[in-house]
Amino acid sequence: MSGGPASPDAFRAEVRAFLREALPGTLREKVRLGLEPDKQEVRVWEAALRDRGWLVPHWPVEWGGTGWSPAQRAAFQEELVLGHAPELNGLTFEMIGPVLIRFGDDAQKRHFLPRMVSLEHVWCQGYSEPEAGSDLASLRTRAVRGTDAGGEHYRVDGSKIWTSSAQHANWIFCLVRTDVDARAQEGISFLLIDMSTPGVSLRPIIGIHGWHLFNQVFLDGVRVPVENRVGAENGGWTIAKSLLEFERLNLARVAENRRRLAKVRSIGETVREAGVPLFERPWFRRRFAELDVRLEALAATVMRLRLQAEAGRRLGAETGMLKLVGSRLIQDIENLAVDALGPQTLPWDRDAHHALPAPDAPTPIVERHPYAPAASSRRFVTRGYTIAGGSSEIQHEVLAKQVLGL
Amino acid sequence: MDIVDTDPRDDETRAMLRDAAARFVEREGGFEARVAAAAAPDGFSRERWRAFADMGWLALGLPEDCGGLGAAGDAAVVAHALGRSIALEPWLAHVGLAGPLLAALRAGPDGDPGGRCGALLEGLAAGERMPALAAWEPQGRHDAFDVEARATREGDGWRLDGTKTLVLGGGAADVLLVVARLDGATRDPHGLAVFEVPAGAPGLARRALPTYDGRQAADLRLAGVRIDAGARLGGDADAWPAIERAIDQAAALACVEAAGTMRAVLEATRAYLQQRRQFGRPLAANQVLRHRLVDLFVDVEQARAISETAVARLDEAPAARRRAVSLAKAFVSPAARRCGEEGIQLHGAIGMTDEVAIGHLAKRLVGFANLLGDEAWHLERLAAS
Repeated sequence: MSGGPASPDAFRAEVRAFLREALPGTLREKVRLGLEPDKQEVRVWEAALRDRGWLVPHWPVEWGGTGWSPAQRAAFQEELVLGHAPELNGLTFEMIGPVLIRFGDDAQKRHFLPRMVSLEHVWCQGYSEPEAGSDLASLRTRAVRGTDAGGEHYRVDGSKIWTSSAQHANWIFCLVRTDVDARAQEGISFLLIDMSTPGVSLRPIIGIHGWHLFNQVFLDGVRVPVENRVGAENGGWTIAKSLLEFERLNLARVAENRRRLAKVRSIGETVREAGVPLFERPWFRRRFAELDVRLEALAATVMRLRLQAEAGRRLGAETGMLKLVGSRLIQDIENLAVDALGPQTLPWDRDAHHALPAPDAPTPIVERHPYAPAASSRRFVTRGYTIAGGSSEIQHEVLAKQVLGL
Repeated sequence: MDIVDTDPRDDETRAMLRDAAARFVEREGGFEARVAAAAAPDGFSRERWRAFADMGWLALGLPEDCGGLGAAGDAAVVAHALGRSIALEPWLAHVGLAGPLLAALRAGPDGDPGGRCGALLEGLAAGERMPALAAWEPQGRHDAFDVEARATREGDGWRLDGTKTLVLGGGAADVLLVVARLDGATRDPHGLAVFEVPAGAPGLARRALPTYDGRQAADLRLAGVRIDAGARLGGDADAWPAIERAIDQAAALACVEAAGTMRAVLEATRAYLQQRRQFGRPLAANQVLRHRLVDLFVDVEQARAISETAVARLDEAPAARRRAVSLAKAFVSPAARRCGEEGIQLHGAIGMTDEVAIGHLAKRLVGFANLLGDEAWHLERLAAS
């Protein structure tokens, strides 16, 4: 069905039936246990969604969207998360796709959008630099315009850092400086760069959980055709800012918070302390209930904004509060998961972060709770949620200035 | 903030120790040295362990007639320095936990028949033996008295069967101090005894598990392990009071260690906020960040004070000792975790990487929060006292 009349329950049932049929069991299990699925597995799932016509429901119908209402899209997202489907490549489908739909010219749309849906192109994001994190306007990567036998182009020199998933990507969208004399935010352009171009190289950055978490991307004399600039020269800042507006309500991660809290409940029901299930221990009950309250307050806020948006209100910077609250909540949920599992989360098995136990592995001396092996690395990953995509400190400033008018 | 750390209450010996510890941090506490030590087969530097023995650090707080040196307060000086440099050497496991257990068993009502505790203590102090406590079991979580492992008489010796987890220092240990039940129900603190089991004993399976914060926490399976009659340490006395005493000492020293690590987080974060510029000025110029750094500082000071107080009260009557230790651990566990998390947050993305010290400091602090009784466990013990 695409956009046809259906009761909300029937629609949800349809999504669930699809999940049962199309989501591979091992992938589902990995996501349920909080393990990091590998990109190949996620690709299989993305292909199943694409074949069903559900890969990019939020895009315009002509580019592969479904024409669903916001409520229907939210229900779809929620079913995916609660059904333990992995996160899709958000940089491709939530960020650069919508950017091109809004700011790209016809040729760019016709070239790039179908290749995103076909999964031929996988994107990563080149915003931050070693000396420009939250303060993006101070970025230094230079793009100098010139002409050669191949036509008009930019030569790009500089480096980008904290680039997630660059090792799996073949295209990168970058903010580069095209006018060094302009005021900080005015000389920036938005370029699309093929990562197989000579001069592009990567340095992996290992995270505190021991895994390849980010990359530094070096751009040394990289030739980028001028047709790969999105929007006007020196007009990149508007585009960069607009990225933060897409799918604003998703920033709350309500469904993800629900899934994680359900995990903690199941830990509380299965781990025993002082001879009884943790769920009967006052300290655990109280902390669980407190998180439940915070989650429902967040969910109610999202719902209220969603209904207002459907009634015609334009959402602005106030949605920053959703990221602020949702990211913090996830961290506190993961801390409770670790406290609930207790000292069995201390042993560190590097492979447990991404791999299910091998079926032929020897029986360990001590059987750990199924959630235990990845609990600590999962918790460390979520520390980044209050840093990436506009740190909590930046969110506070944005709210102070743009919402409270300070 | 200086690397040298003085305390006007110190007598001459402790002042010298503090100075030596500070110099150790300065010389070997660097991040590169730690990365190199982590790559060693044991996950720590044997050479440095040898140096600890030479400096007398493996004898601190242990009985003088078995090669020991100084009081628990002296051990705390070293604990702080090791925490500050997040040293990988299993000092806390062997000197902070197994050593005090041997000392407490030896000081028990039956003394030290056969002198076996004393011999192990001498070996530990000299850097020749590495005893480790095997008390906790999977079902017991933080309760070391929750013991299913059984000790049964067989011939003129003992037979041990059971499963142990979280054997701190269990990777390098050459001898295990195994807590087993002689009688009573699983959660009965009475009816426990401690047995000396050589690491190579037939029937003993050991799996060394590195922890994410650079410690070792081995799992053990004992299947029909046979040991001689004299391997029961501390005679026929009930072992729980000695075990609890030792775990309290380790918890108090772990709190001091954590306070040292918290201080390192504060130092690293302070330096970073002063050096890193954004929006045209140092991060430290932002009032909100300055205030958060001040809150960290306040936590560091309080953590250190309450931890040192706990160490000073280890020799008091059990009820007073339990209260002092639980006050410290219940305070420092959440403060340490918060400190590590704030350190990462204030560093930003670089704090999420393996490449700089802050993430490693934070891991040590969040690991500490779940070790030797977490906040909830100690609050419960306080409320029950």
